[in-house]
Amino acid sequence: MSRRTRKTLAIYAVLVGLPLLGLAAILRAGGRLHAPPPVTGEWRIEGAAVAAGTDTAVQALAISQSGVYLDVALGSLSLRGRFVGDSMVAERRGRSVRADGACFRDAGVRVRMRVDGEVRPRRMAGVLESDGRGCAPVAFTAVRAVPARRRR
Amino acid sequence: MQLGLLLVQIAIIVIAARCVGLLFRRIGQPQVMGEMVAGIMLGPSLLGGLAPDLSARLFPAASLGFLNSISQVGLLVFMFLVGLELNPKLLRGRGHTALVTSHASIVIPFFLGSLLALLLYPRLSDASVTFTGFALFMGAAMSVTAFPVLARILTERGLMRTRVGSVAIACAAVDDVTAWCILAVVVAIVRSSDGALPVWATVAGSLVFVAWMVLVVRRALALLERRYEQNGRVTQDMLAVILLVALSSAWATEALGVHALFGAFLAGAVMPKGEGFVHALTGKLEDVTVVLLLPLFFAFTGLRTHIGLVEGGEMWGYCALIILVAVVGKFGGSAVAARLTGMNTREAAAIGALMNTRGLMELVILNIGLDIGVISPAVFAMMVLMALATTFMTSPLLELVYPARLIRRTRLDAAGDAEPRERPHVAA
Repeated sequence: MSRRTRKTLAIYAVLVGLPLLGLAAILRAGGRLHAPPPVTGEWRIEGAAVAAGTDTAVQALAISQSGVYLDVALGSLSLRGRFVGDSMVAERRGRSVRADGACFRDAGVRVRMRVDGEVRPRRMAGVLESDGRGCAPVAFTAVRAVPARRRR
Repeated sequence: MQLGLLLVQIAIIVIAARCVGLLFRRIGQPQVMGEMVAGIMLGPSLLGGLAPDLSARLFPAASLGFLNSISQVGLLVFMFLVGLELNPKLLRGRGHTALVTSHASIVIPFFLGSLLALLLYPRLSDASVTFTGFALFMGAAMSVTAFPVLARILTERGLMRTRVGSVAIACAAVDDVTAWCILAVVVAIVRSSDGALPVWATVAGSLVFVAWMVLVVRRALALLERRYEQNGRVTQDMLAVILLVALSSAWATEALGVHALFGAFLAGAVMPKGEGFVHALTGKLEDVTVVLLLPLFFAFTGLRTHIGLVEGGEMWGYCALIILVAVVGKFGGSAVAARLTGMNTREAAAIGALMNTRGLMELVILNIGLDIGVISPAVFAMMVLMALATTFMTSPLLELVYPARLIRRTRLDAAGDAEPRERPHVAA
């Protein structure tokens, strides 16, 4: 074996062999990581409809998820949030320019939700809160309607 | 779906792609870079943000399925052309440098992409995706090189006849084939967890199918080349047979749980490689694909790219990290390997800059990742930005590390050497 070939083999082992070993270690270490539960899709509100924004009777909320980051559409309200531990907290982005009800116009609006990971179909319990004066929190439960992932 | 709306959509997309593409060409960028940007501009990141009502009227959600179907057919033909352009002769006689550089330029970015997945998985993925699937996909997406864009840059800069050019094109060919094989495995893993075929069945079936294509179909296709040599042209009947082979191969790999695009690429790769035949076949298929169908794919990609999802310092930080890892892995990995195996510093840096071009191939892979749900919309947007950034930086970076005067000198030095003739290249 020539000196040049030996040198090439040594370089190959360092630049190709070592990263491959590292990859195996990464896949092993990554198996212990946990990602948030999937919540993307439409969630049907059970029982009484929720008054949210300009809509007096909202019966579903839509969630778009990128890991811990969430976009929540609830009636005319568009909220942005994230997972905090097991719970989801989303707040309205900016002020509403529409003639929302008193509780939603120019007031901070947030929704807190928590998914029950055990039951199928998935369910969540949530509370819609407004900073408007005299606005009581609205509690709701919702069931996941259509998982939106894995298109073919 | 109204035919009228579809025609208007196609017209707008083609106009935007040509205009922005030409604009980018004027600033020294590959035209495909502008076409990719035009697609993003037609989506929610620009048109949808500035004129949401117009955007909703021009591209209603219900119409996107048709647009996607047409763009997928275009993509199948394009992948066939990419495979057609690959020539095993590119790999012969390139020596130690090409061997080590090509493998290092895949494995190092793959490793770094998977390492990055340790950080991103808990934050930007969800439990419906396994870490293995996410990490392997990130690795594959980081290790891709846009063979067609690279070939075009080499030709435009007169680098094809230099040592840098011949090593880069050989490495890109190896990278393309390897990245697609890795992606096939990733797709099989992800789909198997969805209840499709088990991984072993997909892998075994794919190996048998590849062997069938290489050992049987390739020999049968050699008859076409002989017919071409007799007729002096690719007849419509020959073209029909070739397209049927490509479509059948695409269907077979899709049925095996890999992806239709892999089959189209494989069909192109096993086609006869005679220069005249490849040139004639490319000429028949390329223009309509590149001018009409590929912009539809860019627009469809743009319509599903929400750059607004990348919001706040934390997410922009992840995006910057993705771009950094992509550049360090591909540029750094290729350059270090080339330098250690005997190229001088400027040549090695030029190899790194060229291999860092991701272009359209990255968008193809990202769309597959989004379709099978292995990456989230925010990661998709970040990776699209990475594809744009790495493609955009190629020309200026190359000019910086390997300026035109050096290329001219290298070509003069090499004058008189027997060099392979330049081949036609798919334009995107």
